[in-house]
Amino acid sequence: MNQLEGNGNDEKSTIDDTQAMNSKGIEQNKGDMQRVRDLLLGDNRDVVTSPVEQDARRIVSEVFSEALFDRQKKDGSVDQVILPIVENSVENSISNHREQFIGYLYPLVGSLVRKSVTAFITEFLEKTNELIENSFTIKGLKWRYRAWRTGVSFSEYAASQTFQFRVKQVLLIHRKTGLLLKSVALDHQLNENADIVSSMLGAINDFVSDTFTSEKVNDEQNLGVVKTENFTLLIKQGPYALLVAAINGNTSPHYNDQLDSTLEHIHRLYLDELVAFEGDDLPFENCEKPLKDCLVSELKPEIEANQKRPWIAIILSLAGLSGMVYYIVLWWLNENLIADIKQTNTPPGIVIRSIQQDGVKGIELHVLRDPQAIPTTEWLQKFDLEQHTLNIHQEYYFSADPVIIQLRAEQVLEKFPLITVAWNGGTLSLSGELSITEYNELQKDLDSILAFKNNFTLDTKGVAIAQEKLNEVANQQQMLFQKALTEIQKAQFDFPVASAELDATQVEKTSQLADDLEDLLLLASINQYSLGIIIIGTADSLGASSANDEISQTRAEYVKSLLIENGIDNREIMAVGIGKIELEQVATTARKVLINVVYHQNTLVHTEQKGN
Amino acid sequence: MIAKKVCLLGPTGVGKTSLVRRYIEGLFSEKYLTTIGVKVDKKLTMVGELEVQLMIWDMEGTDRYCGFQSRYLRGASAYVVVVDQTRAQTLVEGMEIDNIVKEEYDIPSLLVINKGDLEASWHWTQEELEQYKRHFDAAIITSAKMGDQVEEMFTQLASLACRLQGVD
Repeated sequence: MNQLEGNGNDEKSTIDDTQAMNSKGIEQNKGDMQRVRDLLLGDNRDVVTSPVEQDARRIVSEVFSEALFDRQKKDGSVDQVILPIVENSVENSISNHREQFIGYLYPLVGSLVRKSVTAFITEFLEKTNELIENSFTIKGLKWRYRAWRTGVSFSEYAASQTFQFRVKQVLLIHRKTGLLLKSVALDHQLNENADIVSSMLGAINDFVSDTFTSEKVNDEQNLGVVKTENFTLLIKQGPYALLVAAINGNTSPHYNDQLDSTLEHIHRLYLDELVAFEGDDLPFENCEKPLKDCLVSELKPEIEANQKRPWIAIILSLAGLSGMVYYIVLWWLNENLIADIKQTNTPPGIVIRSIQQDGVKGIELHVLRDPQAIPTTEWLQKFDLEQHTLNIHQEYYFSADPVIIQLRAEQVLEKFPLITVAWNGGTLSLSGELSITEYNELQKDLDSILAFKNNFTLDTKGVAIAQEKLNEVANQQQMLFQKALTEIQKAQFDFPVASAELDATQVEKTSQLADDLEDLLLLASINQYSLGIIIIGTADSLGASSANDEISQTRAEYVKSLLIENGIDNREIMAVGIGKIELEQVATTARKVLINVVYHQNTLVHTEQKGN
Repeated sequence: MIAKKVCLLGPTGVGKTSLVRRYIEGLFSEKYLTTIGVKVDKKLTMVGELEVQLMIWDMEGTDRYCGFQSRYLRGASAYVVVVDQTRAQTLVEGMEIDNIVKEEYDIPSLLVINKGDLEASWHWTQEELEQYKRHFDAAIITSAKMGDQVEEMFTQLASLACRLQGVD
């Protein structure tokens, strides 16, 4: 004890020694233990505690931090004790030094507020611009109507219609290293080079930050948006990671908010992993879900529908299609009509030359029509022409159709109202009374009808010539007969030397002669004459007589054959060659055919004629 | 998969881009080097059993007139200083670059002496060179032109980048 008391300046060693002695005392005997107790806890304990208390500050300071750490770790009670004290202190401090605190916080809070306000104003302006652009357009009016119908304000409705976009890819990038943590994309090919794109984006972000950040203001600038004409990279900056969305179109403020909250969410969930990131992206596998939630498309269905419906093109196409269908139907109807017209027998006196379609103009019909035939349009009424455009091109002609000839004959006979007409197949029987002049006129008119004689036989037995005029008529007929006879007997046909052929002019004359002979035969019939026509061939006086006889006969036969060709009955003609003409004046030019007519009154020579 | 950011630094004209071009075929045009000062390429390589994606930041060459963007080294796991053994000045400049990096970042480094196919024309003794090499975690002589040691250089770089993860 004395030793302890004597060494009061060296407390630590004393305590150590005391402890050592106590330990030893315990081991040695209980008496020593009791003495120690008295020393520490007895009335004179100040002797021990005083030196310790004097050095307490130093002893506690050496273990203070470690002790707090251990206790906090053990039961977390340090927080509970210190927190109210700190809060109290801060509160007191702010109350007492308000101005000073505002000065400290202003640069920090001001910057945050400024950034937030800038972002808000930018979005507000974008939205306002869209609203103004669409307020006074047709689309704007449409929106107003729909907003009114759905019961929302115009601004709300317009905002909901303004933003259309599609997010193609979302990247989560470690901010410090630029390494890709996770990537999701609509098209998986985009993910192939996402890591290298991330790094380059990180580099560009560093470049921008380094280039535009002012050291004095210490306000770090980062990329927020990279925008091209139709492509936007929206970059959200967090303390440890960037969230990048690659977008087609214009984003909405709502989507900006979504990206912000996703990045906050990721920071909250993966803070430890982000801080400790050493290049291993495995811990971020589970980020796929929140990132995929950011792969949104806000494409308005009606806008998509509008984009897919080019109305003008559709209307033009429909119009074109309708026109084509109309044209095809019209073409088909026209073809059917043409087939009908071709298959139907045309009326007498109408001949179709051609019928065909002429594009959109309709049907072109070319016809020949006899003036006696029914009008072409009247004939075409039997067809349904309402839906057709029919252009008729008509030319007149004379038809030899029996029906038309009959019409023509009836037209002639209208001039003779006293005559009764009866058609009996191919025979036209006339009856009634006519003057001889009328009778002749009737005969002549009927004869002049084209091909009348070829199709009909004229029966005039029933026609009586008015008796009171008979003599006068007989005289007139006699005169006519004589006149015709004279004319015929004037006819001569000239042949070249040693030839039995006529030239074209002479042949034409035989045709005229045939017509005259027809008239003569008719007059002979009227005057009750029988007659025979003698064709006389002659030759000039040159050459042998036998040859001249032969060629004169050949010439006569030749002219006879021409007359037969022109309708003269063979039985009424005789050809004779009389050889050379031995008359001095005409001996060298008498290469001719002459016409002579032998005739007589029937009542006198009828039997003689039979006898010949 | 593990990805590591590594940076290639060095004076102008020492062959950094040629080394990268020899090692990989890049996605981005090299015009990025002159516009923003860096171009990033990638290459998958193995470090032991570990598959490592190297994101190689090829940085614009530095010279006495222009420094380099040290910000680009942020988050890098290792870096390379490339010098040209036919130009003594490049080693001096390379050492300056190394010093600047070491002021800000404590990451493994590799000294690459390029143009190994040409005869060295610098005056450093072997001892002096060893002295310089001691500033780096490793050193290697390469030839981007011939392809010598290029693959090995990047493999070694990948190993250095993974050192902190205990893969070696």
